[in-house]
Amino acid sequence: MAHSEQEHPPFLLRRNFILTPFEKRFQRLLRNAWQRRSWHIIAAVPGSGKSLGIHDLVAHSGAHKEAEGRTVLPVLAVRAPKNGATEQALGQALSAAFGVVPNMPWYLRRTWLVQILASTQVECIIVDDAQDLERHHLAFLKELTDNLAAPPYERPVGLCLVVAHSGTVAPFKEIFIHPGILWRQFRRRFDTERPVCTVLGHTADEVRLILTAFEDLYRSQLPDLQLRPWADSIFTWLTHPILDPDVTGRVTMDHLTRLVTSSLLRAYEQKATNVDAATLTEVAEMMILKRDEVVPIDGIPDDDDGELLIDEVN
Amino acid sequence: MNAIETWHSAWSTTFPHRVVPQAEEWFPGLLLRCDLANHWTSKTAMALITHGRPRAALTATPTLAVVPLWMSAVLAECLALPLEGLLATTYHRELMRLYAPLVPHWKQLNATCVFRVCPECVTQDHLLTRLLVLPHIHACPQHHVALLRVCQCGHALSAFSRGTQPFLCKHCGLEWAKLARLPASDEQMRKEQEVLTWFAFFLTEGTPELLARALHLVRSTMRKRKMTSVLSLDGTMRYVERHHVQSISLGYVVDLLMSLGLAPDDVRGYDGPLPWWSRQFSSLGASAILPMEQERD
Repeated sequence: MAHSEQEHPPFLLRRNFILTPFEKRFQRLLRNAWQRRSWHIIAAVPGSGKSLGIHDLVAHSGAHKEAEGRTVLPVLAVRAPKNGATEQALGQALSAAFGVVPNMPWYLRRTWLVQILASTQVECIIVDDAQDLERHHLAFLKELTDNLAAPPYERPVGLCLVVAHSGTVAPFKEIFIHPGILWRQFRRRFDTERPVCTVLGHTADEVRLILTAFEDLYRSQLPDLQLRPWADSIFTWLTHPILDPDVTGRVTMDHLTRLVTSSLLRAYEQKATNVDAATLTEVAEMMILKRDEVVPIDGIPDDDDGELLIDEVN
Repeated sequence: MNAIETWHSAWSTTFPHRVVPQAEEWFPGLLLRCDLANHWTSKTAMALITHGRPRAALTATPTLAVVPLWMSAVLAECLALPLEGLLATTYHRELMRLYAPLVPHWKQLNATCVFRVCPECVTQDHLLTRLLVLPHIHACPQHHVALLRVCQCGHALSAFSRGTQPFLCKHCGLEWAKLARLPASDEQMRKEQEVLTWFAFFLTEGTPELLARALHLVRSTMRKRKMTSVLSLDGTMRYVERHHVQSISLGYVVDLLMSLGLAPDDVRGYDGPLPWWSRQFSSLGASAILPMEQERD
């Protein structure tokens, strides 16, 4: 057993971040908002790679904590709180992005957040999963950014509300149609040209480009790997209405990664050096046709020797 | 550790703004600078590092001349600094070496329990030095001004005051940096320089053997001079009792040595009898003793 494992080690899943065409479009928008300190709502379908893109942008934003007290965090990214609709919940999430922070009364934290955002030179705030934001959260974001823009800090800050979006309804429409002055003020702060943007998934040509990257990533495990010839078929499978319910005609990175890695795993376990059409079709059918199928789990695993373990209960 | 980037796990386990100890900085001063750098009120960093610890663990160290090892370790993690650097903000290591195998304790130093500041050190670097806890020291050796323990409003200064800004008087809000400078006399500075020389001698070279030598030298000198009491540094006559070396404070030893007009070379050159146990720990480095102390914490 050990000998055969040495000959054929387990399949190694590569989790490298690929700067796909979607990520380029998405990060370009974020960078633009960061540079111009503009406000946007950025939408994309679930599984596009929004969170990974935000993470990559923050990692390359030049954020660092120096030993001698200087901390720089140009892009402050948080996930919308799920644990409460109160502004405190968002305040906690923003505070936690800086590291170890004490519990403090909310009236102090409000002031502290303004000070810490100014002293760490925050230039853009990104809220991921912003579809979960409530009115109180949005009102607090406006207050926070207004305080930063006012003296003594005078720091205008960009804001990107990144939403997982489906259908044609504009995100936050229900909130912003509210007649209150607050929402009119909030809306006024959005970018003139592109207040709400939808970042689209991948076209067939872009899928081909990504498959090239996958070939490079997995060539060490499947030496003869050729994925590009299947680009058109893969695009057709992954734009099936079941996987693309909004009929965008685009492919998400999540679906593409699942199809490729599952197929490569199967091929690798069969000790093949390339992936064939049958394997790809099999996985695609599983993703499309058996998506909602409930798989019954029964029997005894192969590696079980059949004996029942009995543990003493103290 | 150098700069921490967001992908590093230390990003989430460190204070938003990190602070590095200055030369000879004292632990509470470092905590206050953490508060200052992070826009927190006084005592916030202290509360963060002692969160969840029993109150008894804190009341055992009222002067913070020596702090428990866990406290230094937690602060080291919050600043992503080596523990060694944090230990240098108290007399922990020095007392550990001097009083081995005992656990370092502020009473071994006879540290003063009264909080004092040098307004000039605070003005220049927001600095509270370790020297502030040494007994018999009443003036800043660098700026030659009196160490102040009372604000101009008449209230005693305290290191930490919850709810106020760091480095301020909690009663009137006056910055410590704006406290009056009271010049120290040349005579006082000369005398205190001698005290500091003695402390430096014990704290840098000190071992249980050296401490035993000093005390035996005191006893033999008093026998020779047929004395039973000495004029101590505070001007009072003090009857000298026979204490066990390890139950006597360094402040008291320095007081006796100075009152008898002895010098460090006299201690080095003492060749009289010594207790057998004092040599047992003379070759042990502080690092060899550290794990035991850690266990007790």
